[in-house]
Amino acid sequence: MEKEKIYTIKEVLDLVEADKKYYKMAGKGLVVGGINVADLEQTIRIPKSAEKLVIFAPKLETIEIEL
Amino acid sequence: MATFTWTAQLTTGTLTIGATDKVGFYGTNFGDAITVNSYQDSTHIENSSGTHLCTTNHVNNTKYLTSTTVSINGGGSQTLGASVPTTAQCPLKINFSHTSAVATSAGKFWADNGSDVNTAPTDVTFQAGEQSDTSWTAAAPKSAAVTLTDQASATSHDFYIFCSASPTAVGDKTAFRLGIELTYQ
Repeated sequence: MEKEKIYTIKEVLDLVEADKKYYKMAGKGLVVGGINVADLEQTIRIPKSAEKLVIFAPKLETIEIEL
Repeated sequence: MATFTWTAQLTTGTLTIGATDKVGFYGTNFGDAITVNSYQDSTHIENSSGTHLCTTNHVNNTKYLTSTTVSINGGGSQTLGASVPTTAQCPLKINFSHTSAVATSAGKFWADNGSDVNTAPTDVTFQAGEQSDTSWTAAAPKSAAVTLTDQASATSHDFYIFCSASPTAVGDKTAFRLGIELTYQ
């Protein structure tokens, strides 16, 4: 994943090939990179110093991506 | 500990903006007036006494042309977008760092009159945006701030800002301050 670039949450989930269950968790506790996600069109920037991206959703396995 | 560091991005190199330094918007050169209702043709850093600090390479200049176009360093009109201006061409890089990795959200960048965040600069129209924005925001006062994109968890976060200013009356405009705030967790 390219740093200092803006992604929508949907693009992030697409890039990490997340299961469709994660997409359905937007607004229901999905957290991407520490950001609470309200909807899939929400945008997030990956900082240059970020070392990993953590995707958390209640009752689903946490995804950790090394950057 | 959380720390903000403001840096001016020059045509070559960078210059840290100290707590009492000022960002100056001028005509063609440092000290030149801007015609009323026109936007600046150059951007500079000066200290609290007005001494010019970016004497060799000046700050990248992003001039408002229309709500979706910009002139960068005197160049022709370009439509704002993902790489216009580039991060390196933005006049301001504001870094937020924290000793542990944090995510940032609800970021805002704005101009006010220097004493009250709810009052716009006196006799100045201020336009700004975050790199990759597709339109300018009349970012004054704080209630009209540029919304900064949320950033994923990290120890260092850079916010690249382009900005432009226009006087609406003659004379020096000093009731004018730039501000940033964000939430981190």
